[in-house]
Amino acid sequence: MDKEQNKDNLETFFRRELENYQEDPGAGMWDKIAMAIPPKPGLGLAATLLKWKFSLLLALSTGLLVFAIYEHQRANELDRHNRQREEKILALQEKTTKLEQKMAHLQMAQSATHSPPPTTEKPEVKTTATSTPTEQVITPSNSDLRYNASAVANNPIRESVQTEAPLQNDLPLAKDEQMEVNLTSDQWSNLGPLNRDFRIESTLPAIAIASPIIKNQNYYPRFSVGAWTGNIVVQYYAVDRRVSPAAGTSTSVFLSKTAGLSAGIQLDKHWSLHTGLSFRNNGFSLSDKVSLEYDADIATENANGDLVGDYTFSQEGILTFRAQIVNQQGSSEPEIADGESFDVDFNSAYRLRYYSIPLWVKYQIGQQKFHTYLKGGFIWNKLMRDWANFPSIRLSSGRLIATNPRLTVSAARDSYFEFGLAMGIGYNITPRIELVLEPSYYQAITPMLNVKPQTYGIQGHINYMF
Amino acid sequence: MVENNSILDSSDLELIDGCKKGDSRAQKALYERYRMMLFGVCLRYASCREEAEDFLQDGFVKIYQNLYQYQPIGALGAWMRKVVVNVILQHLRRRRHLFTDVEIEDLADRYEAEDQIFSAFRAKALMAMIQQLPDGYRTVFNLYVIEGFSHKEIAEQLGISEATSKSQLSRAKSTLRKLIEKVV
Repeated sequence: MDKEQNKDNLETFFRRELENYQEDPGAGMWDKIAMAIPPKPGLGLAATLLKWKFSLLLALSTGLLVFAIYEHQRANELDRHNRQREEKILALQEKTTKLEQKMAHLQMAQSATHSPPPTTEKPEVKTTATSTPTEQVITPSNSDLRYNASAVANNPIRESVQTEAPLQNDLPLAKDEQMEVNLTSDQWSNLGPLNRDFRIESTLPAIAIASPIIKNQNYYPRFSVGAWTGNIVVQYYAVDRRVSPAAGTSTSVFLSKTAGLSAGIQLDKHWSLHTGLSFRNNGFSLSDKVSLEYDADIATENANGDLVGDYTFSQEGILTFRAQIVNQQGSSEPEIADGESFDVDFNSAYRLRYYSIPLWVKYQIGQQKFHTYLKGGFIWNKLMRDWANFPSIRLSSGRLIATNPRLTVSAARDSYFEFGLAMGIGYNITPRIELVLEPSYYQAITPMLNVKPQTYGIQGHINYMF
Repeated sequence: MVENNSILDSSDLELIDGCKKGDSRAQKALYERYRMMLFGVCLRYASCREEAEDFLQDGFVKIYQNLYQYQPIGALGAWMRKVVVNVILQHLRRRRHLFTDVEIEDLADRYEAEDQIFSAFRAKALMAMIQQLPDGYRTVFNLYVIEGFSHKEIAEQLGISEATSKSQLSRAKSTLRKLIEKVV
């Protein structure tokens, strides 16, 4: 009996003490619960579809807007580039005409004063560029400017320039006038080791193969604004500045931008899937010394009757491009023999534009205001446009030819895949607004150019949950 | 703070309407009103405070999800309590070896009495003792002693036999008695 009584007392005791037991769960509990509350149920299929449609519409609209801005900027850039080239061509034509007139004047004056004996030899004008690109002295000891009878016949403009009379040994051209010539882009210049004058022109539309060695470190802050609509995550990457050092013999830093959208599905309070569409502008610059080789087989004549050839360069790991070589104006023979080569220092800037579609799996650790998450996934990058600018091609001797061609970069793959890992820290300012700081690492698993670049980055997000 | 868990007044109805519309202010108000009572329930079934917090979080999420099913004929607090207990039981059912037997002596030795328990041998101390029990003992004890379910109902809810329910209760009480004797 006592035992039974004791048992009942125990149950009664516990029931009395604990039945209405209450305790405060703590201040942070509501934040965790608020974050875990799923979207309002019972919307029905139509309403759910409407939400999806709204999100899709928002994503497409933003994508189109971003694309329009991109295209507008690109068109402006092309216009500006074309205008600059036209101005340069006009300036060149003007200066060439002036120079030719001046040379004709001088030659006529010389023939009047010296009355040279008749000769069947072709007169020669030789130029020697000094150590700076702004000086050019014409001397008879060099043979870079040669008379070309056929060119004279075919080109009436040059008729007054060419003369049967030999040139005075110390032709007194003013230094300033020579500077005008050498400072103009697409101008004649001495190619250093060969000590001959010709010029390099872009051969648009030219083939260019960019094979830069890309170092492994790319650092870029990415700022994004995100929003959840129901269980859909919509994020707008406002700005993505990426620093991509690339290596030839030396490198420099280039910035590029990415804009896009992403959407995700929250599977439960921990797991979510994210995907989206973004535009990525991979930009980097190279400084290097390359060797150009003349290929006589593809030499031809331009509209002025000048011999023209293609220089190509191909060497594993560094830039390759094709440029037109215009031989010495008025020369009857190619100034450069087949197979000859010379070194050129160059600076080049590459633009590789992609659109990217990522697929991320995200696992959130904890539901507190401060929480962390892990992310892993794959990114498919599809090439949209690619080209390379050569702001300057400087010859090894220090003499400058500024051709500024814009060449299509054909070595870039049509697409490439990356594997990404990220670990982020999130902070919920409110249950609906989240700040995120996300260090990330990307490893290309298929080549972008001839390499599989690794990328390290850090990005910040602001997400809003509807 | 004394919470209203038995009367469905107009403010409860307003909160329910707000929660059904997804109004976050109404959701928070409902949480504020019932959080302490429901956390007390969670603590009884949990082995530690962290686990009780998980129970509470999942319980409230379930409440907000199922609130549209609630018919305002009974006490809102009782309905919420039932939802929370069901959520807890779902958690516990997933555990393997929920109803294994544990040596009572071992449990008694495991319990380390603290000064505060000696000085205030009341709810908190009892709660601490209950939390020391194995999951199976604790669950059956709570369902039988506090919630008032029969062994048949417990067996149905937990998918066990009535005999198991009875033995688990018996062992839970024996263990608690040992623990009490140890600290008194």
